[in-house]
Amino acid sequence: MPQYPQQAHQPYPPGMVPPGAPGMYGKATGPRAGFWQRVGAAILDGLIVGVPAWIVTAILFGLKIATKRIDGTVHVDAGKLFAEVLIGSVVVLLYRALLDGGPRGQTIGKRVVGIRVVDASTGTVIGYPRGFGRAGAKLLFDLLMYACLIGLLDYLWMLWDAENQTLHDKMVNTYVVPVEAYPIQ
Amino acid sequence: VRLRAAWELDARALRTPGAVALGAAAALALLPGHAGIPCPLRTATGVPCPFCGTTTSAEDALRGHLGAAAAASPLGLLGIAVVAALVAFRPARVRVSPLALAVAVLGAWLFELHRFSFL
Repeated sequence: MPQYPQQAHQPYPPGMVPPGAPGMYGKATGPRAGFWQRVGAAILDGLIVGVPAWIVTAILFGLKIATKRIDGTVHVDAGKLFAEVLIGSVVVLLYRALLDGGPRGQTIGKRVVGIRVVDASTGTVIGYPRGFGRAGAKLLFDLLMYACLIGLLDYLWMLWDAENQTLHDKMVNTYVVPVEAYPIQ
Repeated sequence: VRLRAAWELDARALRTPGAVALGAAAALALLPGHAGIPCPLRTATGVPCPFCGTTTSAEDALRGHLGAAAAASPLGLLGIAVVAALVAFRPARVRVSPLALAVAVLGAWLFELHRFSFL
C-alpha cells in the first residue's frame, strides 16, 4: 500500500542511480572487469604462454642463462638472454593479438575468469589489427616494466581510472568487461 | 578494488594448456641436466621467493619422486596435481578461494625460507 504514489514514477532521488542502470559500477558507464580478475587472467596467460615458451627456448639455446662462478659472481649470457626475450616477446604478441583480436575477444586466461576485450564505442569485438595494436602497446609496457618499474603504471592505471582502463586500453580505445554483460556473439 | 570470497573459474579452457604444460614438464624431466629459471630475487639478494623450487618440484613429480618433489617445493607438487586433475577429471567450473591461494603462497614462502636456512 504505497503511501506516496507519486514516487512510483521517480523511485530514486535525482543523482542516485537505480540498481541495474549504467553507472552503478563506480564511475564507469557499464560493467567493467575488476582488478583481481585481470590480475588472475594475466597470471594464467603468463603461465600458459611462458612455461612452454621457456621450455622450447631452453631446449633450443641451452638451459642456463645465468651461471654462478666459483668466486660467487654471476655471469649472464647476454646473447642467450636477448634471444629468449625476443622469442618470448613474439610468442606473447601473437598469442594476445590473435586471441584478444579474434571473435571471442579473450585470451585463455580471460576466458577462465570470464572477461573479454571490447571496443569502447561499440561494445563488440576489436578485430585483429587493433588486437595487434593492443598487444604491441602492452608488450612495450611489459618490456618497460622489466627495465624499470614505471611500466607497472600501465596495469595499475585501472585502479583509479573511471572505466577501469589500463594505459594500453586507452591507447587502442578498449574496455575489458565481464562476459555475462557483453556476451560473445 | 573488492576481493570476492571465491572465484568461479571456467576450467574448460584450461584442459589443452594444462596438457601442453604437463607434456612440456615431462620433456624437461627427460632432458639431461637440471633446468631452472634463475630466480631474480634469489640471484640478486640470496633470499628465495615463494616460487623457488617449483621447477625442481615439477621435474621430480613427473619422474615419480614425490618425496623429493615435496621437499623442493610443496607448491610445485600441488601445482602438478591440480593441472593433472584439470586434465584427467575435466571439470567445467572450479571455485578458488583467494584467501586459500594467499595462504598457500605465504606458506610456500615460509617453507622456502626454512629450506634456505633463513628461518
